[in-house]
Formats: sequence, structure tokens, C-alpha cells
Amino acid sequence: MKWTTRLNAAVLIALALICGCSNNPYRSGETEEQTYFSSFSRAPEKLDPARSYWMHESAIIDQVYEAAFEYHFLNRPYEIVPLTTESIPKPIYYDKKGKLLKRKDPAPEKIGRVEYVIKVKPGIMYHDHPCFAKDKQGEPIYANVTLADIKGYDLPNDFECKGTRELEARDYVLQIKRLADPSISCPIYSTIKNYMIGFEELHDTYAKMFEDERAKRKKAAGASYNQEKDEQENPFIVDYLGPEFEGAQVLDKYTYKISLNAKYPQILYWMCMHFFVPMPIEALEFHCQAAMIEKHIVLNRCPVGTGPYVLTRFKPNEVMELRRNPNYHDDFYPSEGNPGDREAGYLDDAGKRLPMIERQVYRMERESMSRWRKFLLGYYDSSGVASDVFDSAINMQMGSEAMLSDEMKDKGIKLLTSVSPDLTYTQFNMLDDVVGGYSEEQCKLRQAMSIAIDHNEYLDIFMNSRGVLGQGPIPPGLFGYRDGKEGTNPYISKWDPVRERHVRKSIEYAEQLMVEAGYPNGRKPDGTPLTVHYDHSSSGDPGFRAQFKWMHRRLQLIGIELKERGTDLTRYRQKRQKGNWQIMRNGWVADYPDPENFLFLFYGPNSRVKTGGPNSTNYDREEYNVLFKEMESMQNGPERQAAIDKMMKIVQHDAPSIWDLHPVSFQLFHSWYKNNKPHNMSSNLVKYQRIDPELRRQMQLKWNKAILLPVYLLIALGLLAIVPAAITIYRRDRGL
Amino acid sequence: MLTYIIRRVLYAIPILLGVNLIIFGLYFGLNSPDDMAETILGEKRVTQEQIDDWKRQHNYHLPKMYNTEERGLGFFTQTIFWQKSMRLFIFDFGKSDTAEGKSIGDEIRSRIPNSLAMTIPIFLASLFVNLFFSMIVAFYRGTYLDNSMRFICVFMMSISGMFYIIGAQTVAAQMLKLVPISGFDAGLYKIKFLILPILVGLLRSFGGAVRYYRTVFLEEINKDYVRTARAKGLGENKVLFKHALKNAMIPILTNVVVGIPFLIMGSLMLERFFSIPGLGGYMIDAIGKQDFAVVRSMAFLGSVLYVVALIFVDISYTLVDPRVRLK
Amino acid sequence: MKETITAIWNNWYFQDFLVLSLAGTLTFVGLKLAKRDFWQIAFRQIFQRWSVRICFTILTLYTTVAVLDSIGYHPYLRDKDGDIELHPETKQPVVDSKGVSVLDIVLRPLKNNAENTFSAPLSDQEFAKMTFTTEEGEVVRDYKPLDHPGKHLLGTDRIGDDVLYLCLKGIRTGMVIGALTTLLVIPFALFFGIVAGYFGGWVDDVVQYIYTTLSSIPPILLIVSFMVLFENPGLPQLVFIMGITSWTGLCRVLRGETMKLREAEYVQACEAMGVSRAMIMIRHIVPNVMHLVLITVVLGFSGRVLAEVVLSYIGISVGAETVSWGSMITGALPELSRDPAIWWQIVATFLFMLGLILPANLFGDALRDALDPRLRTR
Repeated sequence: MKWTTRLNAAVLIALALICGCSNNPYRSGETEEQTYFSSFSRAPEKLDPARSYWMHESAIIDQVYEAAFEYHFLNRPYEIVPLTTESIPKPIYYDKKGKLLKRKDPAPEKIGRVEYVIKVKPGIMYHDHPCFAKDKQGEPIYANVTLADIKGYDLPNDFECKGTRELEARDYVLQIKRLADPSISCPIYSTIKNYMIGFEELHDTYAKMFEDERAKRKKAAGASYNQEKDEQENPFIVDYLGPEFEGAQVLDKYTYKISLNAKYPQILYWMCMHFFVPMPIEALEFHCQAAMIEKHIVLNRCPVGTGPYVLTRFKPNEVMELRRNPNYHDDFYPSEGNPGDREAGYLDDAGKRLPMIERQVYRMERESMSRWRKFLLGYYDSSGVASDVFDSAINMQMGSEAMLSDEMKDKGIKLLTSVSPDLTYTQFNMLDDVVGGYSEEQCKLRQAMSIAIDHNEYLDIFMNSRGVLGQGPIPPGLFGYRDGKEGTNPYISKWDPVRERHVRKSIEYAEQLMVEAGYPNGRKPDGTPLTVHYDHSSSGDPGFRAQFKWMHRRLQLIGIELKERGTDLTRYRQKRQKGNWQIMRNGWVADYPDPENFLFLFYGPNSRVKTGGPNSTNYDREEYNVLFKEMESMQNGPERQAAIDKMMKIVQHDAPSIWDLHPVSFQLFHSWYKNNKPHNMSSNLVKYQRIDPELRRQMQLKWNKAILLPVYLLIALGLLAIVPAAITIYRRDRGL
Repeated sequence: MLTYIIRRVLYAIPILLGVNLIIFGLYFGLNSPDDMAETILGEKRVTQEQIDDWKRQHNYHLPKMYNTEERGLGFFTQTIFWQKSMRLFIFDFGKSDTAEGKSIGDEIRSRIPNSLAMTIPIFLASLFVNLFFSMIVAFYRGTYLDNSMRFICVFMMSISGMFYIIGAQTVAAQMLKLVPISGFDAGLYKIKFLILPILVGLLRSFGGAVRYYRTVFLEEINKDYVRTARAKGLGENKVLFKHALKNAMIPILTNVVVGIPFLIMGSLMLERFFSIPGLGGYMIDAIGKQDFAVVRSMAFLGSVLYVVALIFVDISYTLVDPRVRLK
Repeated sequence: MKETITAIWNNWYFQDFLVLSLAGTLTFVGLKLAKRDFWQIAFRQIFQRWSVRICFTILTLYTTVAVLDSIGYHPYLRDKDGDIELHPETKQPVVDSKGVSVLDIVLRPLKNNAENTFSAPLSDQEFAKMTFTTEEGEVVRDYKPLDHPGKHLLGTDRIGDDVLYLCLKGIRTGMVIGALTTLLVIPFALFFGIVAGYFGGWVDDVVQYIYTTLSSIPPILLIVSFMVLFENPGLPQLVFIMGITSWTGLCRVLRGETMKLREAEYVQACEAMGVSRAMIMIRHIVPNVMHLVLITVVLGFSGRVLAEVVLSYIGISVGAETVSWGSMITGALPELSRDPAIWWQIVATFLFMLGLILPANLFGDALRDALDPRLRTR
């Protein structure tokens, strides 16, 4: 009796296991809510808005924090609209003596000081957070916590007592001061310090404060002093309120002012980014306690803001979860957009209160193959934050319909594409004897190589034609980019009217250029082939091998021998720092939609070798530099376009790099995921989007019916195999 | 016994010191903390000033091995090597260099259960399955079953683990839709995610283990005592399953115990393909990001586990074989 | 033709001197050992089995390909019309610094059959639709016909290279990693293992310390950390590093065996007769541990070929200019998610790897059965 019941139970459990088999990675019922499911492949490390400079981190940060302005969801070209402020501030110009300049757009050399006065909307509340929780006396509840007090808590959202507070102007100023804090290593520090008055001095004040404090502590502790350990146990409290700072000042509760030393209209773009979000002083005090640091409840993990979502689960190697912020201020879906948006259904939700999605779940997916398969089975609503993983799966043709496979079309998967404001470029080291230099011959060599490495073929082979052949540094969609025939780079490209795209000139022309450059047939004067080195750090990248071989093959057409020099990342940077390389391939992603962000990559004083700037080709041409300074602070208009055209001609002729391509970014999503419009500048888009959970549930069930027959067959086979074996054992034992 | 263990533990100290020196030397022999800082700060707009700030903040401004500016103990203690690597001896792993302020000890502690959730079932399942099959093979030694099993074992050993993973994901998850392709969850919910990696782990270990256990059994069967037992008229089953199995456990046990560090260190490929947040993935990430803090911690942890496993092997010898004495 | 012959005569080379010395050493040791009865009997015994003979034939084939790929010559540079280029001043032919191996010459038809991009095995058109201009000057969007239709037995890869050609080129890399590593390892392991086992005492302590320390670090971490040392890491560096990390296992085995042999009667007798210790080690101990060395070599071989796949996957490669199976698999993985999947690269590499590792393992198994009397099972 006993063993039969056990057997029955075992059979029942096994049956339940087998019949309940499903490849659904979520818990039951999870997919029936207004929840958005997606994936990520890189673990975010820094969620502190002053520290992070990565796209995959912005995807979280921008949804919790809110900068003063944002980009309009539907309008193109990109337009800045107020988010937490009343309006977009106008610059107020003062001359060198401090006198107000009346003219609307004065010449840059007359300006001594620019001010922006920003008015914050009253009534915006932070999301519920323990740092605002106060007891009856008005003292913060979690002021001097010990490890025992916060046992079991992982994120601020888990804390028992929470509070909120109204957004004030001082929060914005506090964050700007944090950008100068040396312990934060803000990635845009070097840019801001050139423009913001008193920014560098503030940095030095903080740095000195750190230095003094450390010296004091070291002296007290003696030889056993371990700075890292000590600061973990007794964290520094940086006094952000103390030092005077002219660059950003609070005028009243809802108003603050930013002062720059020169005309710099790009500052507004920077202020759309998460570096310029409000930071409540309470949060700093809350997180800067020894116990919090010990438990790693710090700003790097715990964003606190006024945004539409709150981070409720953060396991950067497994899962991240965001939930709707119940305190979110009035924010409505835009009721107008570009022509065609209404027809495309982008205005169906016009005027609705945001956000619409209740919860977002992001799961870690290392291997792109697993992610892709899960997406096809309907378990991810979209192809994810970094969508270029699916490069190989989608085939599309510029100007024609994007190519989805029949299977995907049947499933109702939709594809959105847009040329992203990125530049991929193959750089030449202008300081190199062979590929660098400014003589006509050297320029011709670079032009010839630019023609030989035909990136139209590259696009076809490696990116399924998802990209636009580059003609110069400025990507499509930005001011200054010239479309069509008039945008053709006259030195290396021509316009193909049939297919309406740029094509490289012929190899014969490149050979001719090689002769003129002094390398007939690709041979050096001593008869050996011209050898150039491709420096890279991507030895481990599986796609790199094919790319290198392709480049090698292309250059062989004009007789040049390409050799690789692969190193680890650190040494790769060293080479670049010292100018000790020949050819490198790189990309630049727009920080903001302004041509200055690309043209400064070739501005002489930005040279990587000389000043450590972003100009890694070390290109330095006097005319270009002068024009750049003029163009930098101009308002968009014909005058600026003329200056840009001139600059383009110069770099196109000198060819300090091959203008490879501007990739087309794309996103795939299922039919139940609404309101997707490609937007390359903002990461705060989920608030506009909506899910149809019922449709999703039906489709998931339809696409994922488990097939159990092979399992049964396998079990039967196993039994069949065991029976004779058992019989033999039994027989042998009996000596039969 | 106790003195033996104490001696072995003391003997571990120079080994661990050597491990620290090797890893430190390899990472800082050619690269300076400057390079590291730049790699970590990203490249878009980083300046030397910021690199100096970063080094100052993270205690990398000290000299590498000795500090000539300090007198007395400070000559050794106020250095990167002392402050970063020597702390490991008290299992204070410090903080990650790249993930700002993340405690490595916490991270390791939170990942070990995930690794174990996958490796322990693999370990136990493969031990039983492989023992079972190897005994069957030993039982049928010399027959066609034996020969074909041996061939199957060698065949299975000759396939890269990557193919098992791809195959399993394609067949079980994509085509038959029986289990999720990849993922992880808390508590009991993780079971459905673990079925496939465990199956793959089992398949991967099958060939090698069955072949090895088979030779162990055969070696045992050919010994005198087995012959005596048979001569006494004991049935083949009893000989094999009672006497031979018991004695064969000695070499099998050593083989198994040596594998313990790998249980904790996780399986790199399985974790990666099945998105399991275990220690193997942590190690690979750290290598990719050149996070020296994590690399040295993982190397240290790995060696500690290895040394401990060696001690266990010695002790297990004495337990199963009374003739062995530890001195 | 004449120039080609002079070019071969003047500019021949061995790409991997070590591969050839490996072959040489093995032959020498083999001949030396073949004189001994023990080895003669063992080999005769295993070669009686047809399965071993098949395995051995396959292994010989692979080795031949690897050796052919290691011998070659530097041809003279030629211009577009195929004429030899002369140095502008000296009027002498110019030697191309890039060599051509014998295998390259044999496989020239395969190598020069490159297409533009992916195509399925034996297909006559490209894998994906593409917009192109036909011969009639029309712009169409269709499957582009191949330049060499039906010629690619195993299809082509992303940049149109013949997969069969790549797989064959990968043989040398696999063999070098598998066999050369061991060749580098043996002298160290032999020396340290025997010295430690024979002398004991502090020598033993030092050797034990070194190998325990090295083997206690997780191997992947050690390999990656060593790789950082090199400026432009490629195949030789990888072999070197894998050697450093893998000599410890053999060393441990040899040490144990030597400790046993030290107590053997014939060694004791030699000592009593006053034979020098060095002589004892060379004449009496080394030959008696050779079977262990051989077994470790053969069985370790397949392990290292497989390890290369994992190393490639985590980003430690042999450089973009060398073909290796590991990098082919890693490169082809993402293509599996294409629709329809590009399977031929993975399958081809799988078959070629299996074709090398399976015979090696079977051969090693047979060898072990024959040479290690304790394990003799029949």
C-alpha cells in the first residue's frame, strides 16, 4: 500500500511537470497587466545622473529623473519643449563690462556673459521616497540609521516610511554643483568648465577640501591608513550649500539662473540631458550615511526624481522593474505632430494623461540569439533598448519597404526605422608620415583609400543596407546636412540618379589618384607594396574578423596591403593618446542635435594628442578652425549653412577620415505595443506608450503550444532499453 | 589530523600570496592606473585632470609596490599592492573599480546561490546518472553494448559544449516550446529556467565521466578480492554493486571533490547562454571591463577554494581508506 | 613558370618551425621507442584493430594538411597583367612579404572562388535579396546570381569566402594549438616533475609550490591576464599562454610516477653501483615515464582544441588574419538567428572539429589501454 501511494504521487507530480510545461518565462498572470516587457544586454552600473554617460543607463535614469526640458515626442526636426518649467528661457546677453546688450543676437566677441533664467512650475512633487519622510517634530526619520534599522531593505522603495516634497529651483542648482565635485568624475566636466562661470574654481575648492580632510585622517591613522576602507566607514559629507558659485544661483523658490562666460546656445541641449536634473538635498543626506553605503543603498543605484516612473527592483545582472509614479505631475500626450502622424495612428491617444503603462520589466539577456528567439515567441514586446543586436535579422532597402520575413509579417511584427544621428568613420592619423599630412599627394592617398573602401558594399554585406553612405561628418537629420545630389562629396563620391543614392567613384579613378599620390599600383618607390596598419581593440569581437578581411580585400584592389594591430582597450587608448597609430575605426553618437557636436571632432584645438580632446584624427587646419569658431555660436540659418558648407569642403578634400556611414537604427515591436515613433535623442519614451495586454495574451498562447510527443517517445525508448538490461542482470545473478 | 590541517592552511598562505603577486604583476606590470582610470571613465570627454581625480578618489594614486616617501611600515602599507591586494587575506574584497562603489563581497555572496542552484543539481544528477551507466557498462564489459557505449562516450566528449547549448535551446525551447529559452527568477520559480541548463550540464559531463568511472570499476573488478568473492559463489550483482562499487568510490570521490571549486565558480558558458546571474558571468564581465578589483578577488576566491578542495581530498582519503595516514 | 620555380627555390619557408620540429621529434622518439619491446608490442596490438587504423589514417590526413599549410614560399610580386614586377633601381624581382603555403596552392581554386556574401551550400545564388544592376543595366531586387555557382560545397560566409576553404585552413590552427602547446609543455613538465619526484626535499617543495599556485588560479582568468601582456596577440602567444597554464597537470603526474620509480629495485641498484643521479634520471626514469607523457599528449590534444572555442567566445582570439574554428563558430553564432538560419558555417565547423577530435580521442583511448597496464581491460 505504502509504495503504491508513493508511486502514484510521483507519477502525478511528473505528469504535472510535463503537462504544465511551457516556455513562458514569466510568472502566471504577469503578462495580463499593463506591463511592458523588454530586455537589456549590458548591466547598468551608474544610475547617478551626474556620473552616467551611457545610453543603456539613460534608459532608466531619464524615466525617473526629469530635466527642465525635453524633446517633443512627435515633432521632427527635434524641438525642445518645457517639461518641468514654464517656458524655454531666452538668453540674456551682457557685454564685457557687465552692461545689458539690447540686440537679440549680438556678435560673439562682444559678449562677456550670458544668463538664462529658468522658472520651475510650482506643484510638481517628487515620488515617494524615505528621504522625505519626517517625524512629528519635522526631523527626517532616517537620519542616523544603523545597519539594523535598514535590515532587509534593498532599494528606497522598500522602506516603511516615505514622504514627498515639492520640486524647487535649489534642487537644480545643487545638481549643477555636484557636476563640479571631483569625487563624482562627471563625464562632461571638461565641456561645462569652458562655459560656466566659476565652475572650475568650484571644482578646485572641493578638491582642496578633500585633500585637507584626507591628509588629516591619514595623519591620525598612521601607516595603517587605508583610504578606501576609511571612507567607506566614515563617508565625507560634501558641503554643497557652502561655497559661493556664480554659475548657477537660486533667485527664489521657483527660479534659478545659469551664467555662462560666452555665447553657447548648445547649453539648452545639455540641459535636456540627465546631467541637469534636480537633486533634492534630502536624498544626498539620506544616501551619504555609513550604513547606507555599507548596504549599497546609494545614488548610483537609487534614483530619486519627479519622473513618470519609480525604480522598484534593480538587480543589474538579472532584472530591473519600474512602476508608475503616483505623484507624477500633469503631463499629457501631445495633440499635434508632424504631417502624417495622425494617419499613422500616433495621435490616437492625444490628450491622454501620461504615463499609460503601469509597470516595466527589463530582463538581462546576454546572448542575442536567446533574446531574438524570445522576441519572436512574443515574450518581449520590443526588440530592446540597444536594437542593433538584430542587425542580421532584418533586411531593408533605403527608399523602399523594410524587409521583414514572412514569419514576422504573419505575426504582425512591425518595424520602425530612422537614420540615427550617428557617424561611423574610419580615421587616419594626421600626424602619421604615411597616411597623415596635408600635402596634395597625401590628401590624394587618403581619397583613394576612401574610394577603395566602398561602404555601400559594406552596408550591403554587413548591415543589410541599413545605413546611408557618409559624405562628411554631419549625419542626416541635423542642421547643415545637405541631402541628395548637392550633398555629394565631390572628391570621392558621385550621385546615382537611378537608385537615388551616393556611390563611391570607380576603382580606376582611385588607381589614378594613387599614381598622383606617388604610389603607382600601390607600390612604394622601392617596389614593395604600401603597407598600412589598422589599429583596433576588437580582437575578441566575432564580427571584426570579417570586417577586417573585407577591408583588406578592398584595399588590395588599389595594391595597398592592410595589416592588423590588435591590442587590449587600455593600450589602444595609449596609442591614441600618443598619436602612435595609422588607421582606426570609430563612431560618434550625437549628444544633441546640433552640427557643432560633429564638426568639433575635427577642430584643431580639440586634438587628442595635444589636448586630450575628442579630435582623435588630430586634424588641424587653420581655415577650418576659424570657421568653426564662427559657426559654433551662430543661430541656425543661411549664414550658418554657408559656413558649414565651406567647412565641409575643406574636410572633404583633406579627408582626415573615411566617411563610412550613418547607420539606420530600427526597432521591432509586436502589434500590441502602441505609439512607437523613432526618437534618437530621448530615452524617456515609455511614458507615451501603451500595451494591449489581451491581444498579447492571445498571441502568446497561440504561438507557444508545447509539443510533448517527443518527450513521451523518449521516455518510452528509455523504458524499452532498461527492460532487457534488467532482465539480463537478473538472469546473470541467478546464474541462468 | 588537526595539526595536519593547520599545517596545510599555513601552507596555503604563500600560495595565495603568489596568486596575488601574479595577478597584480600581470595587470600592473605594463599598465598604469592612469590607463585603467581612462578605460573606466569612458573616452568621450575625459581629461587628465579627471583621471587624477579618479585615482585620488579610488586610492590608485599610491605607488605600486613600495612607497619611498613613507617611513617605517608605511613603506609597504601605503602602496596599491598592500591596500588593494593584501586586504583579500581577511576576505575583505573591497569595492569594484568600474561599478561605482559596488561591494565585491556582497556581489559574490548574492551570486553564489545562483551558481549553486545550477551546479549542484548538475553535480548530483551527473554523479548518479554517470555512475549508473558506468556500472551497466562495466557489467556488460567486453560485449557490443560496452563497445558501443564507449564509442558514444568518446563521441560525446568530442563535441564542444557550445553545440550542446545551441542544440538544447533550439530543440527544447524553440521548437518543442517545453521550457523557457533563458532567464532567471527568484525562489521556486527558477526551476523552469534551470531544467535546460541542468540537462546540458548532464550531457556535457556524461561522456568523460562514464568513461572514467568505467575504467575505475574494471580496475576494481580485476582485483584479487573480487575474484575471491566470486569464487565464494557470490552473485555477479552483489560483487559489482556491493564490493566493487564501495572500493571504486575512492578514486571517484577524489575526482568529484576536486571539482568542488568549479561548483562555486559556476559555469561560464551555461550562465552566459541561459542568462543565469552567477559567478562565472561575473568573472567574464570583469575581464571584459578590465575591472582589476573583481579579477583579483575572483582569482583569490578561486585559489582559496582550490586549496580547500585539496585538503578535503586528503581528508577524504583517510576516511575511505584507513591505511592512509596524514602526517 | 621558370620564375615561379626560382621564387620557390629562393624564398621557401617553414611558417611554423615548431610544427616541423614537433613532427621531427615525434618521429625520432617514435623510432627510438620502436626498438623497445614494450612499445613494439603495444603498437602492434593496437594497430590490429581496424578502428584504430581508421583513426590513425584520419589523423595523418589532418597532420598532412597542417604540415602542408606550414610550408610555403614567398612569390614574386606581380602586376595586374600577371607580369613580374622589377625593382625600379636594381631591376631585380620584388619578393612579396606575404607567403603562400603549399595548401594555398592546392586550394587556389577554392580560395579564388570568393563571392560577395552569404550563399548556401551548392547554391547558385546569394542567400539574401539585394538590389543590384543586372547585365542588361536594369536595377532589380532579387537573389543575385553567384560568380561561381554550385562550386561551394559548404557554402560561403559573410564576406563570400568558401567555408570549406576556411575549415581546411583552420586545421593548422587547431593542430598547432593542440599539439604545439604540448610540445612546449613537455620539457618543462618532464624536468620539473622528475627532478621534484627524484630529489624530494626542498626541490620538491619549490616545484610543488609553483604548480599549486599556477593551477589554483582559475585557468580562464590566468589566460586572460597573461594575454594582456602582449602587444598584438596572435596564435604563437596563445600557444605560449596555454602552455604555461597546462604544464602543471602533466608535471604532477610525472612527479608521482617518479616517486614510485625512485623506490624501484633497478633504480636502487644503480644508485648502489654509483651511477650518477643525472644518468639515472635520463637513462632509467625518463624512458619509463614516456608512456604517461604520450597518453597525456594525445588526450590533452582534444581538450585544447575544444578550449580554443571557449576562448574565442570570450574574446581571446588568434588574430583576424588567422583562421580558427573557434572564431568561425563565434562569428557564425549570431547568424543562426537569421530567418532562415545560416546553418552551414556552424555545421561545417562542427564536422571538421569532430573529424579531428573524435579520432584523436579514440586513438588516445586505445593507446592508453595498450600502454598503461593497470588499465588494460581485456
